Amino acid sequence: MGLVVLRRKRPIGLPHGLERPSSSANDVYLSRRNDLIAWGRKYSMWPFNFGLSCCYVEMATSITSKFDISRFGSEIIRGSPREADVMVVAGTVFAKMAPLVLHMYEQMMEPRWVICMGSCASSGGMYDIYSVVQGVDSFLPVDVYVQGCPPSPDAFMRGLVLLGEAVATEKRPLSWVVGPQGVIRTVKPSLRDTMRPERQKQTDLRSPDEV
Amino acid sequence: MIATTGTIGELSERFGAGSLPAQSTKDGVPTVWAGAERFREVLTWLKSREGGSYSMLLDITAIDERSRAHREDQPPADFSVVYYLVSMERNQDVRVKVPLLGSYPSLRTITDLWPNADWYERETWDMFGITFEGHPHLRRILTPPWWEGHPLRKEHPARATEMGPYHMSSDDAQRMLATLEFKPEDWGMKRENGDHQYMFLNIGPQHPATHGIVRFTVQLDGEEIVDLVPDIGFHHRGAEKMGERQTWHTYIPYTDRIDYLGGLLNNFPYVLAVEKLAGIEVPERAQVIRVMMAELFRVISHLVYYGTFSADLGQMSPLFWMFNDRERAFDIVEAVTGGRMHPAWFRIGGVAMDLPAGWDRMMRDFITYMRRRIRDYDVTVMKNRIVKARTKGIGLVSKEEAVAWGATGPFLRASGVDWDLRKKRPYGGYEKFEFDVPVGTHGDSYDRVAMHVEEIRQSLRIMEQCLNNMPAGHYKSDHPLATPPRKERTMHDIETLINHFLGVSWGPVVPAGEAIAVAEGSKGNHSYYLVSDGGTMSYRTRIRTPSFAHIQMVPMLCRGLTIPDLVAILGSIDYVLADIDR
Amino acid sequence: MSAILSLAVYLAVVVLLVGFLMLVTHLSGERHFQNGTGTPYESGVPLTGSARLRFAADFYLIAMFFVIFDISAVFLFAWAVAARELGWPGYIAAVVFMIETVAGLAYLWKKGAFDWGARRLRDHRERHGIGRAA
Repeated sequence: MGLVVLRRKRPIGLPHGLERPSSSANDVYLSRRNDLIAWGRKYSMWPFNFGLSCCYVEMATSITSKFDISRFGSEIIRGSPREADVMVVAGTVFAKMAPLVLHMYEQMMEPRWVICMGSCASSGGMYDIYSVVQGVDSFLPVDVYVQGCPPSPDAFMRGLVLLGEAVATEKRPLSWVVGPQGVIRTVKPSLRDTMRPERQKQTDLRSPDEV
Repeated sequence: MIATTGTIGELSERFGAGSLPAQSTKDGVPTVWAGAERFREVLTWLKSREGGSYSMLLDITAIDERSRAHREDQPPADFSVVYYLVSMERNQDVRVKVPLLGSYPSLRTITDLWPNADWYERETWDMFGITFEGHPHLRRILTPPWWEGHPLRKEHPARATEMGPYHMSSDDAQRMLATLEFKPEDWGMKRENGDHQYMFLNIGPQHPATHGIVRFTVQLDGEEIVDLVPDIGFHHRGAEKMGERQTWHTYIPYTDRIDYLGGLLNNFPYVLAVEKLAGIEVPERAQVIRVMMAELFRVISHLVYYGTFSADLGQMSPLFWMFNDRERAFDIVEAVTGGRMHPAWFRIGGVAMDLPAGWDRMMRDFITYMRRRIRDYDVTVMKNRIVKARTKGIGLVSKEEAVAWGATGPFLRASGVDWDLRKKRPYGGYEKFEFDVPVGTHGDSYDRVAMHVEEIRQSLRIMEQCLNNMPAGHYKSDHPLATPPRKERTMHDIETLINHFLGVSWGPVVPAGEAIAVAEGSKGNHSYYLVSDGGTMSYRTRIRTPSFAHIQMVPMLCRGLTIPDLVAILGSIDYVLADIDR
Repeated sequence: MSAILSLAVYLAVVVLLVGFLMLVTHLSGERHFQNGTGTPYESGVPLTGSARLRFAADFYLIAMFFVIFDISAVFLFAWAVAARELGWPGYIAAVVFMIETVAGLAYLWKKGAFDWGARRLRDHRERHGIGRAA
């Protein structure tokens, strides 16, 4: 098959300060075919129907017409892990549920990503209690953390779009038999830091006494 | 509000004066202590009373009394098991407590008296280590099968950070999963019946039709369901243990997340219970605001229920429409409280802040809009032939069964039992409002849904009355336990400064006592039984949720039906996972 | 001869194309082999028993009915192809055949062979006082 190697003349503009890490394997990966495939993946990330708790209701709300994640490519929520791309851990990771989370993550096919939706999935949230695992990243690799309790549907969509943008610049092997293996992921900065200048410009804050 | 008809007097008459010591509680519920040898006799007698039997077992729970300081008027006990019975004919409750001594005491089961005692006793065993002799399947229910220890005992750690870092490798996960494998022999099920074999299918925990992470293992004979075993505990968040680590005030956000669709409806029974313990009177404006926001959240919760029910039966569009309507309701909630699903806006003694200017216009628009939409949904969903064919006659529950299993709320009313706490035991200001309570006839899935739809209309009616008659006044009581003193005065005298500082940092110190507040949540009777030891934190927070009792009934509802019928039944029982597992 | 040759070419193209597609999809993409990857999915929990079971005889019955009525339909197709040549006698024979098939269908319907489920079997047994494996 042979990987076509083309030198890029100018880098694709990366939003939100995402960096493309430099490595010697760059030349092999950096090809139009990979970019095309990555572009296709970015616009068709199908979430896994993995609602655990209250965050799932907000995830379901983001699927309905007011927020509608299907316009960003998440057309179908898949019930089976074999068919899904993104596992959205929406809700608290309970001690009884944790082995099932890992089991279903193992059952997902590559390429697969994980979004932690909500405070409970990211770090246990307000539930520092015996039956809650303090963050799903203690046993799963996580790509994007979306904060909130629950995050509003806009925040979840933002996280999904952010993951899409990172996916578009990821480097994945074309074949498991030939070529360099291993995924080179894009470095994702904290949105809180990158958006601080914008936030600090807001000096006119509405009072809660008016609708 | 609850009339005392001399139940304690009757008990003394029957069992001898002094043999059943009474305890006075801050909520006016007659409470008696019965020894382990005769508590079954007492319960049987109460259940069979002429002219008003205590036919419903609402709750069984336990209290770990070992670190409790203020219990002078109570018999000595290391653990006490609490049975809470309800009589609908007398409109009265009674609480029977059994003192137990020893580290891991045991007690006879009452599953032969009330079938719903099954899961409550399993939960009490799981949480406290109290064995119930004669129980058919005494095994863990809320904690995983591999759990060691009994969480609500005072020596069990509360926080995950006290239990060491969490490690789970893939092999650990496989080992834990192996314990979750369903073994039919454990439940008395056969694998075959001679000519053909049964299939055991796991529906859930990760499944779109189970409305959450709950597992129903179904024994199938071809397509027909022979038996079903629900497995809960996948959503156990330890809310009751959390109550013992949070102050009275900071526990309010945890209550929001019990029935996560209900929002402020969950805050209601909790703050009512604390107000009973502390003796706080809520001003009228605060009461009306609370009722209005609670009814708005009832509409919000019922819309999710309605939408997911129709989606379960195959109608995709109503789900989208109803979630859109819900967004309009959330605009109001966000304007008033600042939050969407979990505002945590009720406070002990009132609400967090006053209503913003312009709220009445938003509310009026929403009520007009929603009335029209409910009429439209009737045509699309309730009058649809397929919906009717799939739900009429499916999942029938008779009156006696519903009461025996502890069903409450719209589930109970669909079977024809007129029991709505807002009418029978008005709380929080509901006595001032005019509304009807729908009561069904058959107790099938269709009736359950019809109850919810009518309740949306009645809630809109209540909200309109709140809108038209909102009194002026304070939005919160100025009782010292509800509100710290004014900040300006803290600079003038030292007592105000001290009280303000303690009120803001520690929170209220609620006097010792026990109180229960039962409210009509969107799914049924939601209650908080709080035990205070005179501290800043609750000594024991017992949350009795309606969905726990309803899911226990699922095997009875679906035997002999097929899996699509099971889906229709699950869609018609309004339940939320955090409500079952807390 | 050329017909066989074109068929052979067509067959070869099909085999090569399908083989190529399968080879490419097999070799492309990433693989992982973790504990749970090869296991069947059943809502995240381990399975109880298998799906290779002895099902109730009802399912077999439905399959049998299909075969029988399908073959009846085959006969009608065969007749339809040659309907013009067979003329009126052929038409009458086909109608008689159809009536016989419909009579069989009505008999089965009345006997309750289409009532689905093992419940039917159980009711039938109860009604007739038959014990288990009769």
